[in-house]
Amino acid sequence: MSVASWRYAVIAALAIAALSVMACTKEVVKTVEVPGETVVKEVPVEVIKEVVVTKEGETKIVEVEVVKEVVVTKEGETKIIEVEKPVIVEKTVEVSVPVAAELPAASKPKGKLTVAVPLVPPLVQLQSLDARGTVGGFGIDWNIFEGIVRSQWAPPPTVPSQDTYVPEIAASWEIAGDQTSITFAVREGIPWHNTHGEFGNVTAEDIVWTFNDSFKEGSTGNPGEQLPPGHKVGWEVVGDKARMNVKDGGFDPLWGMLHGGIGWGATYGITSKVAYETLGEDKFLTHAVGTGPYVVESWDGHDQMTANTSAGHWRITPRVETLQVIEMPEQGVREAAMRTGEVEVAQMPGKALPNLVADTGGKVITLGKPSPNTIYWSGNYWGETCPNCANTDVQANLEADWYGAYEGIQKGYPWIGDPNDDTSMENARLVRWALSMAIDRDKIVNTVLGGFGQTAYVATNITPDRPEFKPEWRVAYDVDKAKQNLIDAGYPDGFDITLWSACNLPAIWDCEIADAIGEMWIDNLGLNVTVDHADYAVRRPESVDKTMNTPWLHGIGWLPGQSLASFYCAHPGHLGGVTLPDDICEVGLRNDVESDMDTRIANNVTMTDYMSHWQTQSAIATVGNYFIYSPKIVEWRPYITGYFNSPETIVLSD
Amino acid sequence: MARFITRRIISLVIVVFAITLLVFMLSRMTGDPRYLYMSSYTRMTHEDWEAQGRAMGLDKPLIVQYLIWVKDAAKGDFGDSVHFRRNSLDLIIKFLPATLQLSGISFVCAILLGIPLGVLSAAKRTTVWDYLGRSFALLGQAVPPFWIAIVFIWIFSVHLGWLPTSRKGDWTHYVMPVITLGWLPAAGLLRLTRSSMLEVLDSEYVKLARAKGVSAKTIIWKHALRNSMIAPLTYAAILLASFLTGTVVVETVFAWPGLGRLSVMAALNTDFPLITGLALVFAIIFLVCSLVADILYAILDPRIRIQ
Repeated sequence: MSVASWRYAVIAALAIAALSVMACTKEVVKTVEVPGETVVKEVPVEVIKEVVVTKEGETKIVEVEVVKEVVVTKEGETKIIEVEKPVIVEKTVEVSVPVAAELPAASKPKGKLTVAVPLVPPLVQLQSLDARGTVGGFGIDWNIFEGIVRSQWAPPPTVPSQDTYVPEIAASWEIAGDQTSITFAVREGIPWHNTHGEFGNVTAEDIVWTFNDSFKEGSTGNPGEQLPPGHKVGWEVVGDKARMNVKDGGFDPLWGMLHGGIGWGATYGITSKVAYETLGEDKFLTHAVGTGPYVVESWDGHDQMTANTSAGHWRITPRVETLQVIEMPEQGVREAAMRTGEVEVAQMPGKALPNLVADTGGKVITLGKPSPNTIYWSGNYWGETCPNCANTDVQANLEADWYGAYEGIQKGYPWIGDPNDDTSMENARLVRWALSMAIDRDKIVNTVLGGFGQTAYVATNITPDRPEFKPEWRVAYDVDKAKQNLIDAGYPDGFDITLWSACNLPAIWDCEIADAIGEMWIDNLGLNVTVDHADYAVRRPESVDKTMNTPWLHGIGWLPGQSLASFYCAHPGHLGGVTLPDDICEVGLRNDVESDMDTRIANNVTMTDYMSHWQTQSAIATVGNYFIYSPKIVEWRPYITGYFNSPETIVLSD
Repeated sequence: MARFITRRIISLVIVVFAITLLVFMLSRMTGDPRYLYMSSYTRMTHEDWEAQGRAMGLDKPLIVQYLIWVKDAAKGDFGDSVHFRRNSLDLIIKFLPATLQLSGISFVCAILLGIPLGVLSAAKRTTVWDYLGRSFALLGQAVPPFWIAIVFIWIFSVHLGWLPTSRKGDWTHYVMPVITLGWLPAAGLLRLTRSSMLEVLDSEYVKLARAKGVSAKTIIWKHALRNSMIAPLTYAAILLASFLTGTVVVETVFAWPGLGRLSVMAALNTDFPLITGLALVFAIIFLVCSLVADILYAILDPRIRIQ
């Protein structure tokens, strides 16, 4: 090729490039006036598309006008400033669910529904060993097991009313006038699934055995730990009824949520005592015998669960014949499976949803307790007594000048205050406020969470839209003030800090939020930050034996009025790295026995006031579990409970 | 030869002990496993704590716990998985077939692809075939498997719709995992075969054969290939072991219910009986394969036995 030919080729290539740029650029020319001694040039206005998700959970695809201001100063320097201006809202995607006003009459089940989730836990069908809630959580959600009552249905994101319970296995119940017992009449003729043998119908004995096993001595099960202390007195069979005895003055008005079937916070699936005795413990643990409208065909932990409809179920006939829940650990693969139509429902992080919704025509729904991702400022063990700790290591530690034994105080970690030293306490408080104020919560919600979330400020899950929320709990994003706080606390040059966030929890966004926070602390405060993504199991021992002094990010979806003292006060077992002082814990502990809901909420507000002032925990964003579902699903009545749920209400298009 | 094999087997047993001891100790370094199962509400007294420890066999010194484990393992009892609440050996047996199938097919494909391409690359040195073969090898060794997996899924499942995204199923489910798992070893085999072949093709006896007018086909397939196979064949035996024990990434991305996935879950849940059982199985697989490689090498090259 000659030199001339090369020259023509280069010119042609440049021309094509220029045409390409022009083709991608809206042909509008705008004059930008810039005051001062500058020369203003005419510049093109570029239009780009951007997906924006509002706080209300709506997904909008917005056209953004990018105005490039070319400013030439008198010294001859050229500065280009880009200004973004949203102009057109093109499309809105609502977080919603296709709910029929009334469920249509039962028809013959048909078809298969496939659901992709990050985790299918192995079944452990014994309350006292069921550490992950596979019976009362997953099992009830997937309609394999049933509870004694269920919450009244409400479309997500509404939380079902906690005091309007609907009978399920229990046909009715009666609360004793002195609130020391609830007696449940058992619905007659509910058969146990017979895949692994004939176990007859549900009896009061099954119910009593299920509950008593959950909180027997040495129980490590999840359901037992959810029960309030007053409800662990013991169950007994009275005639053909099951009676729950309640500690005098320990009646919890949330009993239905704690003992009930599907719904907000479902924990208890009733299991068969006869099956346990017939199959033996080893076989019983892994062979599902429930009463729900779906009967397990195979439940392979960390692989899949397949269930088929139970013919002539007493409560409901599902419209979909086969349900398969499959474990797909990788988010990208779940997304791909959703795009190819291999699955009809998939759990996804918020930031992946807008494009997936736009491309597949699917819809998004929040399932699960929205939990405030919260930094627990671990190492601040301020409790001096522990009412439930007699004969435990905690009590022994308390008697041996407990708090002083902690490495965090000895090492002088800036966020840890010594309760025997007012200056230390105040400086540590300033530091925690500084770290909290240096976090741009809005940015985290809009970027890391793709807009699917809500900014949060308190660990107790009192969100800013709730009437109890107080304006002073809000933590403003104020870098200057944060820096000043550090100076006032004696750390003008910053310090080293490690933030721990495990990546293997169901809250699949935790990790990335922690990364974002780490970057903000580096950029805004100049701290030397390490974000530790050690597995949950690795650090859990520290949280149990109270040696943790590394701030960690985690979220608990507390209910309004729920008893908080068990997690924020000195207590045997797992804690969040913080114990509040005795006087504030005394307020919290009242909720273990308080019946009046308004008083319970007021007690929690008092605790929250303290926790906010001292910033013992800094909440970042309230997030739920987001699921996308295919347009093939034309009806579905899920509850806002932990995971994919209520498959019996799903109707697929033909 | 018998002495050679005996020596290798004795060293294999020692290594198995060392590996399981190491893994057993390491799996306890993350803390007392009882902590994993304590909740924020469970009130556990010292007596409860001790009782749970006794039930889990934690009341004895670590080395005693290990020896008990060895005794039980010799009888096929690896202990109950604390996460699955099932016997660890049963779990391993349940998850093993999926890994065997995936690894076996990948191994065969890697051999069938890597060796012929290596021969072709060497025989057609500096031609387009050689460049193609080397590019295949370069890509296979340079690109991480998880990336290959995701890109494959994006292209062949999402855009072309030819293959399912993941999970075990009919033959279509095997295509992408097999390629993802087999590409890197096939690339290694290709390079090894190519360099061995080039060395042999450059040897005096091959030059002599050429001078005597032996056909190129005979030289390559009869004289050169057989002599250049020593290194690739022994490498292949080790490769098989790495296939069986190194499927973690592929099984995780493709949601394949095999030992790799089981290992991840065991590690994430500090499931020490299962971790140790898996380590034992992996160690035995690897060591048996390396023993086979040693024997093969000794058979193919008598000088090894003498040394």
